[in-house]
Amino acid sequence: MNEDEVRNLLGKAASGPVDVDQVDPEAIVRAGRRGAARRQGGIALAGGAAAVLALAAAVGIPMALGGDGEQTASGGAAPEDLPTAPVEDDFLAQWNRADGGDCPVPDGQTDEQQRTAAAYNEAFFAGLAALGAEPLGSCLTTRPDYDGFYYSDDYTSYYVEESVAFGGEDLDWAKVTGSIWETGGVNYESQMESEECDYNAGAICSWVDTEAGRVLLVEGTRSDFVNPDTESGGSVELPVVSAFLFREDVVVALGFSLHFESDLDGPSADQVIELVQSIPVGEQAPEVELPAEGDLADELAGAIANAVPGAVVDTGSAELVRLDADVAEYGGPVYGSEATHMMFVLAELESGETVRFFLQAEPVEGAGEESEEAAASYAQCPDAECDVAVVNPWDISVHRTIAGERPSLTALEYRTGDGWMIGVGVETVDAAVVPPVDFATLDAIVAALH
Amino acid sequence: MTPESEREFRDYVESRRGALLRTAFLTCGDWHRAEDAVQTSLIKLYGAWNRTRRETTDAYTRRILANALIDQTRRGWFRRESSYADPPDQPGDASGADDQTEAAAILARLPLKQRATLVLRFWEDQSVEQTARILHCSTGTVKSNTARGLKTLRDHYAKSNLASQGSK
Repeated sequence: MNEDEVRNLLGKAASGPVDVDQVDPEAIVRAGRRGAARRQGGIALAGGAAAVLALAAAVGIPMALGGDGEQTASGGAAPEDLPTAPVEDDFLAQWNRADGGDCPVPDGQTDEQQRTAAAYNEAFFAGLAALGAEPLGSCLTTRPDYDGFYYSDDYTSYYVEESVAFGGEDLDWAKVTGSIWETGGVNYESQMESEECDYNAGAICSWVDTEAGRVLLVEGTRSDFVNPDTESGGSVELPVVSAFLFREDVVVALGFSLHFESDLDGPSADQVIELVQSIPVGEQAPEVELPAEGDLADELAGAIANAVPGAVVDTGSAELVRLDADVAEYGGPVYGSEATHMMFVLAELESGETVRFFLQAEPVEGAGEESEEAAASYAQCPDAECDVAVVNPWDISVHRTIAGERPSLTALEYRTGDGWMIGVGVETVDAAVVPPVDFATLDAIVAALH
Repeated sequence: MTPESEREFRDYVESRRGALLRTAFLTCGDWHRAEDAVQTSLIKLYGAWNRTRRETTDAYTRRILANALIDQTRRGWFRRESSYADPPDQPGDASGADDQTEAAAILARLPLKQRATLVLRFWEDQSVEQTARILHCSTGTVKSNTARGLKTLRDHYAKSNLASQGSK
């Protein structure tokens, strides 16, 4: 039976009139509206919860300072004259997204599924970072795309699909897909070997015994979309490395399709095997910790302490603010716009000088387009002296020097992959001189964040 | 959703509902299930309409339709409703209806995933990669389901009246 005969058979089976009136557009629109209203209710509830968290975080700051509320009341480490506005409810949640993106959160995940996915994500993204792979954070438009692993009721499995960039001077990236499913007593080893190896001419399969279980390793090539999102441009044979770990009652599968333009090596088979073994299946997943302002302060303080030997960071002085719309006219240094969130923290350098470090962050609208211009604009370069450089195809660096009564240096990085503009700067607290912290040091702090 | 977006959505539903119903029927073999799956899918599409680019809407709709049909199977539609091998009467001439019934019965011999694979590959003209994307499986699974599905069809098609018609 050839393909034309199959088409003919399908045509016959589907022949005859179709009662299209059974699918009424008006009824669907009405049902769709009801669904949208229900989701809006859910979002409103979630927003309320976030607001409570933000309030709790604000209340927590005086406690962190040992009951001394004066400094917080007067604005913490932030310059007193800086026009600020309340922090956006979802800023910390967005900052803490594992994949750096802003894709929708999946509906209907149970608490256990959320905890399990979070545990998988922690190991998965840590493993990717160890491979030098940085999540691009882009959201797919042709199908659901979430933050790392999610549970699919349709397929009774956990799934992940991410695009990750690899360092270097060329556009080297990989699509990573993975799934984790319980076997229910079914032996999937021969089935997966048949599906992955027998029907893929370019696949080279082998078995590896590990302490966690047998691993089916698939290397070689496999056809995949040139553009996995839009599927435009058709498909090509791409180098792949995939591993299927058959644990006692769970299968863990992860695969990389390599879209590399340079001769950079992709992840090795051993590294992918290590990655699948690192996913903590069959363990009690811990409670999901909600993002807090203190975590961001610790992250910034840790990065500063690593990059500036001898610096002592006063995390109690940390203050997270969002810039107010009036920031453009207030007369002081312009760090960003009303969409910019900033965390200020005081630190004492080895020299004994007290300085103010700041982190500034915001997602860029329409990320990826006219990158250098966007980077310069978001860095407020028209009001400062800037040195803009293309670090690699994914990242634009801006070194910004602000003169005047409160001089400062800021190293910013526009990450076109996930669309974040992130900068770390330093300024003096009580003298009109630039602190002795150079751009290379600030670059190192930025690189350690997010 | 703005009135303009809703108008676009209604136009989309009106222009695609016939084709979606036929695809759903070929996949599940029951017009009532097909209607249910298409409606469910289009309601989901309504919720995602403003986030879906028009050039990728068909691909997204195929995917949620495939999900809806597979989900129906899990929810026990097969136990509650008439099976693929017993399609409802269709208006039209007797010989045409016979051919339709026989063709549907041959397809009914296939497991759901194989049937869905063949429908996407040969009715919707989707590539192996696109089919894998829609069915949330690997390209290897699509190829194996295609090969197995074709073998099963070949065996049953050869014994049917349709094969003898084709050879005339």
